[in-house]
Amino acid sequence: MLFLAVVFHKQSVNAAPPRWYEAMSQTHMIGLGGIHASNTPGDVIKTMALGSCVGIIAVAPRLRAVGMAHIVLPHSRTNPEKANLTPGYFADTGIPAMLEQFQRLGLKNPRELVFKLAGGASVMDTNNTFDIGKRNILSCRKELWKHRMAAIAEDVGGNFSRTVWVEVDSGRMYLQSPGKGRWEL
Amino acid sequence: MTDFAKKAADRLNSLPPISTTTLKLIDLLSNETYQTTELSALIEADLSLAARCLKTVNAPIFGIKRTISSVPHAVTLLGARAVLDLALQLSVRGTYNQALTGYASSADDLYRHSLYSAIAARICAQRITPNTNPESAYAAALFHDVGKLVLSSFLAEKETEDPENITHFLDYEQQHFGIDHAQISAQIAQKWHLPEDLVQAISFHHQPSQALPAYRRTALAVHLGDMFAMMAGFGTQRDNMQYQMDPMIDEFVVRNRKWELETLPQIMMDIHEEYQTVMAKFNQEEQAQ
Repeated sequence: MLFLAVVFHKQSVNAAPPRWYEAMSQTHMIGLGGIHASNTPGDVIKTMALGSCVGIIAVAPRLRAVGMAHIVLPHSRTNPEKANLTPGYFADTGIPAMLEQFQRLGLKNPRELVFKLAGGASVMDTNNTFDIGKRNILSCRKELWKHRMAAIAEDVGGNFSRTVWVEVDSGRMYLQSPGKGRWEL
Repeated sequence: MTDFAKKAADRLNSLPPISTTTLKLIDLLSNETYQTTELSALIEADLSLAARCLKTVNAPIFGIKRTISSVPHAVTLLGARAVLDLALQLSVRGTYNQALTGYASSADDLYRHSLYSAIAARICAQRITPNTNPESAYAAALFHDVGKLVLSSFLAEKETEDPENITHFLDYEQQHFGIDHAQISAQIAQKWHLPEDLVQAISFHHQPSQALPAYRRTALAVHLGDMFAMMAGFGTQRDNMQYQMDPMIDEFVVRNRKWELETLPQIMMDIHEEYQTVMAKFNQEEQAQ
């Protein structure tokens, strides 16, 4: 009996994922201002080449759900109309909109979420005239604090772009940059 | 190095030439007193461009219910700027449709980067660097990175080296090849007989302060357009963000609260919105693919 159980276990671990799994799972690419949260097994949420933009990644371990928002600008007062249409464009409207998406997946308490930040790079600039990346990071942190939350890890700043993705299955988040390889945060 | 120079010259000569219609359009629109009849005569002489104009103006997104079948009518409806956009995009589309392996970028990256930079450069020419011809900035920015097509394969051979801690990618290119992508782009622009202001702006798009005084502002607009494209994630990957802002910007921008909280975010947003509009209106088939 025990032997059978071991064999069965081994098979279930080594077997290829069932068909429904491959049919349902997909990579969600999000663009500037995009927000997506998912609890579909196998799903990956990805955003390409974050420059001065900031990616906010949230994981809800109890729900087995992950989410990402692609923040472009620090504050929605730049254009409140745009904020209505695409809340993910701005840090102050993007975070509440992402929480809403998680609530639809069953989130009760926002403090269950584990946050990570990535991006916010800037070009070398003596006077920091164009350093919107830094302002994006500060604004994201501030908005998280407002909700009594904070990121547990950050991979921000510097002068290189980052491609970021997060997997539903493992809840792990990876970064990639041309010439720098791939790493986990 | 001679071997490199020879190979580079070969690659440079293998690039297809830019259409004469596009050149004439750039010339025509650079003086402000052109006649609309001249414009439509120019378009009518170029079959592929005329067809493209008609196709664009008859697309549902333009919202014109009747079918437009006359080229002058289409040109009037589109406007000179949109026609130039179409001509420029048509002339770079085929050339730019290849992956830059040395820069780790895919087939579409160079085109998107160039288009985004061009739109950004035009907006910068209007709002940041006054007294600059926005159309020159647009055209120059569309061609500013064409030299990467030549450098890419040589850079791919150097990929084994770790490019960490590069503060200025131009220096990196200079170290390895004795020439950088901006200089090669300028050589190509000269070969294409682009006007002098475009050649200067392309050549100095990373150091606009070193351009000839008459062309410095256009070069700065292109420089900023390039930076904005990289910041928004529309770069050519490997060298993304790894450039230095030219100190010349301090002549035009005072970093204060208004700039940080209003002007800069507004400019960045407008560039992105216009890029999305242009992609939707003029690149329908690319979008559908």
